[in-house]
Amino acid sequence: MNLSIFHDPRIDVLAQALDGLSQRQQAIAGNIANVDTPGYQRKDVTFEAALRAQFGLDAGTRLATTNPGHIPYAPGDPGLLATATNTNGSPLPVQRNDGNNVDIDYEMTLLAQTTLLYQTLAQAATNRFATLNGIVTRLT
Amino acid sequence: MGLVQSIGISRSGLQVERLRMDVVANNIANMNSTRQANGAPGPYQREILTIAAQDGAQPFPTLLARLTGETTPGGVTATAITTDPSPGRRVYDPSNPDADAQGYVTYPNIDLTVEMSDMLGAERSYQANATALNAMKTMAQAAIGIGSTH
Repeated sequence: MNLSIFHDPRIDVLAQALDGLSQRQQAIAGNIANVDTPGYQRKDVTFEAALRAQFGLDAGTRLATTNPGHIPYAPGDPGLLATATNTNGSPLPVQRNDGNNVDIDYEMTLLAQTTLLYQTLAQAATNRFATLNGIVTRLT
Repeated sequence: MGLVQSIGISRSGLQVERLRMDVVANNIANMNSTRQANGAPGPYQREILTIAAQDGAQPFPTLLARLTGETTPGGVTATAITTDPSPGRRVYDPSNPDADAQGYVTYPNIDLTVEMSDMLGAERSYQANATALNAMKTMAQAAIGIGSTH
């Protein structure tokens, strides 16, 4: 009896990515709360590289190009799971004289990005479980 | 756990910005007060709110994070409300009961431009924290939706 559909590595990837995004959201909330705190240094959460390495996504995930017009995807390219991993935050230097390096525009856009990505992955997980549910109900 | 803690972080931001707004409102309301709150002579002194980053947003999650070895991004906290010692503006008004021997009345050291810009800053920061809180709620709802088959 093969139960491998219930040990889907895709669910594990989704779960850990959701966890990482949740922690990033927490870091962004802290950065926004401290936007006026003198001397505060922003915090970020990077997990994409570790996640890709853990599940071997760098080695295994590649897109075939069968037409010259196709956009090639090579391992290491920024994919779905690769978002901002820049720990210094904004690529532009923050001009403030209170020692705080929070760029509020960067934090707000990162917040929107994190929320959307979280919703996307949560929807993917929901769809995956709906598929499993469909299989189970049709087999019984 | 992470999402619940985010509520605390955004809440600390909202609370601090509201307090900043209160301090600014108090400064503006007292910009012509030539006496102290207890009626003693001497003008009202401008109040300044000092804030600092917080280790953890709430006592319990902070304790739990320490026990489990997690680090918390923390929120923000108000550390003190201090008075600005700079001298006030002096206006010649000999008929005022609070005038000194030379006929000058000392008004509070409040610059309305500074207070207004501080108020706008607090307002925008409050909105940013509210947006972060709403984003967290959206994410929590998406998480709750996982596994529901409708």
